[in-house]
Amino acid sequence: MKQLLILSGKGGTGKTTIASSFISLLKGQQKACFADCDVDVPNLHLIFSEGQTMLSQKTCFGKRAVINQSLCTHCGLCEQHCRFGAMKNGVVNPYLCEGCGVCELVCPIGSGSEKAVHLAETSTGSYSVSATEYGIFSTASLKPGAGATGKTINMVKQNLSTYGENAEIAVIDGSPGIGCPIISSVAGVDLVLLVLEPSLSGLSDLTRILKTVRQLRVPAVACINRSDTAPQFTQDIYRYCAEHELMVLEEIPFDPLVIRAVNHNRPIVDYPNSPAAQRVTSLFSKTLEVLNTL
Amino acid sequence: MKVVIPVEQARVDSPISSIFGRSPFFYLFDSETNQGSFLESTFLFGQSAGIQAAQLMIDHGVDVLISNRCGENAMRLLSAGNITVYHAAASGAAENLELFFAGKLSLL
Amino acid sequence: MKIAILSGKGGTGKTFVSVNLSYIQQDAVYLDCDVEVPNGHLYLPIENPVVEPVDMPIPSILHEKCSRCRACMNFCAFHALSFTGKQVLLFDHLCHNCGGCALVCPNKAIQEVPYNIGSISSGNFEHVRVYSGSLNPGQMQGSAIIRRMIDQTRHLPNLVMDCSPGNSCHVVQGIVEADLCILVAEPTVFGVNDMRICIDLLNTYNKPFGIVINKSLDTRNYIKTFCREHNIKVLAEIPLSPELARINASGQLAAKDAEYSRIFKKILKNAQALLGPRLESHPDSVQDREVF
Repeated sequence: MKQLLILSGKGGTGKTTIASSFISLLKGQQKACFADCDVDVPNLHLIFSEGQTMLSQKTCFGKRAVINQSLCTHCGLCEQHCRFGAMKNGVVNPYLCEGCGVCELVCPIGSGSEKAVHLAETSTGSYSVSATEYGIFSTASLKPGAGATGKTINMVKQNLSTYGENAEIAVIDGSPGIGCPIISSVAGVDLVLLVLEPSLSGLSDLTRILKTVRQLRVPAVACINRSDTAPQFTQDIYRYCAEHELMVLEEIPFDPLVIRAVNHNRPIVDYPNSPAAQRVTSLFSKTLEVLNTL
Repeated sequence: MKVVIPVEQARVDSPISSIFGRSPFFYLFDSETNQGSFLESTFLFGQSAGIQAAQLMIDHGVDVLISNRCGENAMRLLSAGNITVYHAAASGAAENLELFFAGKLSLL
Repeated sequence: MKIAILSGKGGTGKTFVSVNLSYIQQDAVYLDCDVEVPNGHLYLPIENPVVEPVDMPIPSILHEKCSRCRACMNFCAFHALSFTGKQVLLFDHLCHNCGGCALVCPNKAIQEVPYNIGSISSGNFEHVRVYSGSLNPGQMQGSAIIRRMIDQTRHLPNLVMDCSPGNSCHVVQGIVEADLCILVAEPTVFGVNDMRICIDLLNTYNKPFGIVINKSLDTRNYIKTFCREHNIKVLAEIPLSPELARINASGQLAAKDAEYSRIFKKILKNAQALLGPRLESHPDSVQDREVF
C-alpha cells in the first residue's frame, strides 16, 4: 500500500477539499482506503457521511493526573514539580496535564495507585474505522483539549494499515502546523502533497512545513490553491519551490463552486464542469504518477 | 548468531510483518543452537512501538533483524545496539531466513 | 482586557482579526501563540526585534555514574529513553522535559541541560507591542514557548493572543489566560462543524466568548442560525471581499483604512460588552473531576 499524506503548514488552504476529491476519483480505479489525521477537528467524514458501515469503534485513553482529595495534605509538592502548569492549588487541569507522572512520583502520601496524586487512564476520545463505497475509512474524534493528538494519529494510521491492508493506495488528510501531529502523520508515508496558498502568510508557512518534511526525509510535491487570487504570490511560490527543488504539480483557480460543494457534503470533482474540479483531476493524475515512481 | 524476523502469527510459515514496530510477534532464530522461538509484542498499540520493538531486540541479544519497513527511531536504536538490519526479500519468515544464510539479502 | 482569538478550522482569519484588533487599540500587546506557523509578525513587523531563545531542559546522562538500573527508562512515559546494551540513549524529540528521569535516578547520573526548541522575538510595531513565538521545525511541541510569552506579559492590561487552530494544548494555554475569547468562524459546513468543537472547549472553561463570522456570503449562513439557537453573541460579520482578501494576502493591515477599522472597533466594543457584569473571570475554573 502506498501512502499519500496531504499537508499544508498554513490552515485553510484546501487539504480536505483535495483529499476528498482524490478519494472520489480513486473509486473504481484502484483499491483505496483513507484516513483523517486532523483529529482535533476532523472534517473528512462530512464529505463521506453517507453509506458508512462502522467496523470498529474504540475509546482512546491517556494517562492524566488525578487527586484524591481525601488523602491530599496540600503540601504543594506536585505543583512545585509540575512543568506544565497543570497543578494549581490542589486542582488538576486535565487539559494541561501531559501524563508524565512526576506529580505521582513526588507525592509523599500513600503508594502506587493509592497515592494522593496518581495517574489514571482517562478517555481522550474515540477512533473508528468504517467501510464506505470509497474504501476503508479510519478517523478519530478527540475530546476538545484532551491533548492526545500524536498518539491518536498513530492509532488512526495503525487502523488504516490493519483494516485497509488490501488497498493499493491510502489517502491521508493531514492537519495544519508543523509540530507533533504532523510528525506523527508523516511516519511511514511515501509521499507528501503540500497544498499551498498564494499569500505572504502562505509563503512563510511553506518555508516551515518544507523544512519539517525534508527533515523527516519524505518526498514531497506541491500544488497552489486559489492561485489566481494573488498572482504575484503564486509567482513567488513557484520561485521558492524551484530554488528548493519542490515540484509544483498544478495550480487550482478560485472557484465559488468549491464552497457550494462543501456545503452539500460533496467533493468538488462531483461538479466536472467546475474549473477547480478540472485542475484537481489533473493534479490527481500527476500525483499518482509521482507516487507510482516511489 | 541470533536472527529475528517480525511475523504476523507465531508460526514459522507465517508471513513477515510489513512494519517492524507494529508486528505482533517476532521469530527469533539462534544459529548456534539451531532453535527458534517467538517473542510477543506487548506494545503493539502503544506509542513509540518501533523503539520498544528495538529495545526488545537489544534485550534478547539479537545480532540481525530482517525487516520490511523500519522507522527512523527504531533504526537509530538498533544501530546503537549493534544490530544489523537486512531488507526482507520474501513474504514468508522461513524463506527470508534461508535467503539470509545464503547471503542473498541486502542491508536496509 | 485579555482576549484569546481562536478558531476550530484553520484559515478562518484568526491572524487577520488579531493583528487588526491589536492595531486599533492604543496600548495592545499582540502575542503570536501560533508558534508552529506564526504569521502575525508579517503584519506587525517588529522594529529592532529582541530575540530570546527558548530552551527546554533535557536529560544528559553521566554514563560513568549510570548503573544501568533502567529506572529512568521505566519511568519515562514518552519512551524517550532506551538502552543500547552499553548505555542509555535519549531520543530528544520525544522528551517532554518533565524532569522525572533526573528525579528518579538513584545515582544522580542524569543532569538536565538546555536544549533549544525555538525563540521569542519581541519589540514594537508603531504603537503595538509584539511578541512572536516560533517553534523550530522538527520540534514536537511549542507549549513552553507560549507559556513563556504569557508569563512575560501577564501583568499587562490589554493582550490579544493569536492562537493556533484546533483545540490542542497550545490553544488551551490562551484560553486559560483570557478574560474572553473570540472565535473566528467561516460559514461553511466545515467551519460550523469545527466551531462547535471549539465551543465545547470554551464551555468547559466557562469563558465568555463571541463569534466573528468571517468570509460571510449573502447566502444561507449556518453560523447565524446556530448562534441564534444557542444564544451565542455574534460580534461582527465580515463579508467575503476580494478587496479584503487582497489586502490581507499581501500582509497589509486592513485597519489602516478608516472604513475597515470600524469593523474591528465594533468587534472590540461588542467583546467588551460580553464581559459586562462578569468583571472577574477565574482562569482556573476547571474543577478536579474526571471530566472525560
